[in-house]
Amino acid sequence: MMSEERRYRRFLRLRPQSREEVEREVEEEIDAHLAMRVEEYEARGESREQARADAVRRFGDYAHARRELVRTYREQHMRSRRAEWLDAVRRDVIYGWRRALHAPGYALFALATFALSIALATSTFTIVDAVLFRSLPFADPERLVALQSVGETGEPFSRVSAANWLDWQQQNRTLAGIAILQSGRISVQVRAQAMRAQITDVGGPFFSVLRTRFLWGRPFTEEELRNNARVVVVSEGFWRRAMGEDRALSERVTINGYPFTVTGVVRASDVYPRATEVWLPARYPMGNGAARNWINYAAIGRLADDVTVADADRDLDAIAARIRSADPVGIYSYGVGVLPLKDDLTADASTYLRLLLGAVAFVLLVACANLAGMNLARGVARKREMAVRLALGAGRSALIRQVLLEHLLLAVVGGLIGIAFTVFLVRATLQAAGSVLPRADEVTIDWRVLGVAAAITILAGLLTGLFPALRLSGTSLRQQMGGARGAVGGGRQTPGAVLVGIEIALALVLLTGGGLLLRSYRILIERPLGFDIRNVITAQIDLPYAPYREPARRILYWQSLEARLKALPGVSAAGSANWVPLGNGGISFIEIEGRADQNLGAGYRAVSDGYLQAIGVPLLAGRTFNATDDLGTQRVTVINQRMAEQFWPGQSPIGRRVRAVSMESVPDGPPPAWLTIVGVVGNVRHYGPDTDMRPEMYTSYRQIPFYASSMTAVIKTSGDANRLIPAVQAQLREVDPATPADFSTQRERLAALMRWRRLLMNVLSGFASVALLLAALGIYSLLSFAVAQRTREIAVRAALGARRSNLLGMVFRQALTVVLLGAAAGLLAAFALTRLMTALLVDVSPLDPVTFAGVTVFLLVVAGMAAALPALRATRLDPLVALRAE
Amino acid sequence: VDQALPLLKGTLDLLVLKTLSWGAQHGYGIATWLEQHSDGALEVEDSALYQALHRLESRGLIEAEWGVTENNRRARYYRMTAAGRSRLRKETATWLRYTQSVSAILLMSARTV
Repeated sequence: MMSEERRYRRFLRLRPQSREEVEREVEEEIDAHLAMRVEEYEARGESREQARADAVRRFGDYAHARRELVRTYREQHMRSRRAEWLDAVRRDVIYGWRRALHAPGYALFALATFALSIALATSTFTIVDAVLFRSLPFADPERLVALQSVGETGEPFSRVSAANWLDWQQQNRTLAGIAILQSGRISVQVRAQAMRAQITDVGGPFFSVLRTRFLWGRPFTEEELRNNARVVVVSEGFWRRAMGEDRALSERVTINGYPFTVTGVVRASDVYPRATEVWLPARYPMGNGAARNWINYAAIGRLADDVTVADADRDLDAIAARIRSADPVGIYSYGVGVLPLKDDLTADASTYLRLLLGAVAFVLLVACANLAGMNLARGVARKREMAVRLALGAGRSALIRQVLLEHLLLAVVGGLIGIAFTVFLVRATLQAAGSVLPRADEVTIDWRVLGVAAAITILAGLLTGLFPALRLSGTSLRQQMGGARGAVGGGRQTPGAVLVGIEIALALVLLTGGGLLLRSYRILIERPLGFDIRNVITAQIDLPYAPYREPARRILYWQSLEARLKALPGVSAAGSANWVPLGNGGISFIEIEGRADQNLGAGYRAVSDGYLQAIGVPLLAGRTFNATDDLGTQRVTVINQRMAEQFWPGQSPIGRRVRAVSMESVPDGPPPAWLTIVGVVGNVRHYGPDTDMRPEMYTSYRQIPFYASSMTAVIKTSGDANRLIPAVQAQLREVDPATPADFSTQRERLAALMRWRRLLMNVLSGFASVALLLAALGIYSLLSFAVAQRTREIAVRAALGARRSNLLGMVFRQALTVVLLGAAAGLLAAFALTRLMTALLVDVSPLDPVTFAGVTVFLLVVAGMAAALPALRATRLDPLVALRAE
Repeated sequence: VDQALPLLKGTLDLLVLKTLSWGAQHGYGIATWLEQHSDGALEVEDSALYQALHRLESRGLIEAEWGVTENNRRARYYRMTAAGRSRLRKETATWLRYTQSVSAILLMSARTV
């Protein structure tokens, strides 16, 4: 009898739960004991009172015993509950595993969905974290700041003039040091080997501001900086690659034809700005007046102890005010912007990285909603199982736990696959975007990323499981047993429909974002640039200063190079300019003869005679340059149409005179000579498709030979440009082996400029595609389920003579409501959210009706196709077979 | 009964296990059995007995179930588990070795020293 009761108890899990119950049990046991004692004593002939007193005495310390018993009882109870729970979890995991094996299709789909969405989320986080969230890899990085010039209307410029910097440097009381820097590429010779190198000119305590660590050696001394000594610091990479780690070579470095000494080697981890190979003391112009407006340098500083960014900002603004009152010429001296260096470095990337982080969260949500929805649909058979379990006494919490665990199991396995996939995805992203992503070299997958991946995994598992868990555990047996058969049109599926609606809404938001970027991109690539992209080779060359000190030698170099290049078979035109489109470009302040306008500006280029033809800029009026334009003859210039329209609207500019007051002047010297305009040429978007066509003027390099020491040769070929590069290289070596070049093609340079946009567009479209695919699968499974559930109804209708089109309509109607409501919600969300990406759009409103309409139609078509399959299946039902199956 | 000996520490658990080796029993039954079979030489305080029972239960050496006595009274019955049985075997062997050693020393006569 007892063992039977025990089994019964165990089945029902009737164990005392609360403290009160435990106490009651303990008291009951002791009372029973005392009662038996009393009986014993009474049997010996004691009076009832006597027997009671003896029994209690014999028992001992009642209160203490009671307390102890309750305590051990509860401890034991808790232990066994914990063991039971773990046991149940173990059983649930095994059960979940078995269920997965039972329905391998669904399990594989869930694993793939989890793996993909977790991999996307984790890789996005990995990159965003490394670029935006982590501190810079320098000592005490929070104290590093970037300094900006401020214009009259308060707009910041990321560049500063050396003249202003010197004043900040001397007068500030809030910064431990301020340094200026400017990067570029030059030719460096180690022993006899000439090569191109990425350099940074630095002024001020650059290395101590950054607290750069050296592999060996030392930073520049103050004296070396002041005297422009012939010293360089090189990077660990350059030291290994170009110098073979040979200390003897540190005296054999030649730049501009002069011998330089290497004073130190910077550790690879401490290189700043990124990719710099050689640091040189900067030669900067000083003095008052115009020099204050030559903003060529970036500036960085380190805050002194106990000083905030705001303190430094106030301090430097006060200095700027003093500079302004003493020297009112400065148009960039209206203030100084101080901001954390990290913010300055990542400012451009921040918009799109945050956008991607938000987008990937959407993808994750769609994936979770999708799996949750599939589970609901799959759960018809399951509901009976749940109902039976509930009826047999399983707790609701046990059922919830079981369903949650099933999903967590899938999520964890999926997450592990996803993390492995992340390694690959991050690597691929860096390969594609490494050159345009700030701090790309700092991206690593570490415990922090893994922790977030684990959190994402658990969150995904719970999000997916919670909905079905609550829903399934809430069913009653009666409802299931009674309602499953018979009733026509049964099975409301509001929750499933809501989930699909959410998926559609999220997918539509992503599609809209992707669509807007796509449109911007198309607009950009279709924009006329004003110069040729096809089959144009560029070769950036620096002539070493010493051997080419004579201007005539420089000109001779370019002329003989140009002649040789033009003679190459396959070359249709060749020329050179100091700055060519899709790269850097100098802008000069200009003065127009007879006008008092201050601060007019135009791009200013030194070009060879063949340049305009080689780059593909057409002549619109007047003439271009020829051999008669030389040092002794009239100084002439050719301007572009934009400059003509801006400064001489409705008139011919030919014969007018201008001068390049900043780019041709010497500090504290006389103003430069006038240039007579002799021709008008077409406009170019010098800085790429997403920039405007700006005023520009060209002058023959023979008349401004100062700019002929560093030029880019442009070679227009009739065939594939890349195949001609070796031949061009050979010609270069023959003219002078000490002049290596950075080779590229205009197509490659354009691709590099567009790379981050392209990548962003691809990634966001990829996210949108995944979301749309999942949403389509969601619609498909929702309708398949609905059709399966209404088989009987549909069969009856078909038997009664309903037409196919009616049945089709019936199923479609159900889909239509869900899709339309979801799409409406998605459009509303997109209306609210696309504003955030305004900065990334070109000539497209964030509410662009074409995009909104386009993606909505696209979504509806995809949704319609997803709905068509189950709908067609419904119309093909054979009433007899369907009814017999019941 | 007047010269009942206080129990040595640890022996109560052993005795309880031994008692239960004959079959399931409630606390009162165990106390009575112990008293009878020691001819009243061992005095077990009831409260200590119950603490021992719960201690053994929480260690998984015995388990308890509510049952009904011959007199139709609800009482908590304790039975030995497999773990309890093997523990009893081990502890008995240890106890016997221990008491033999102690006895051997206590029974030595002065001459043999």
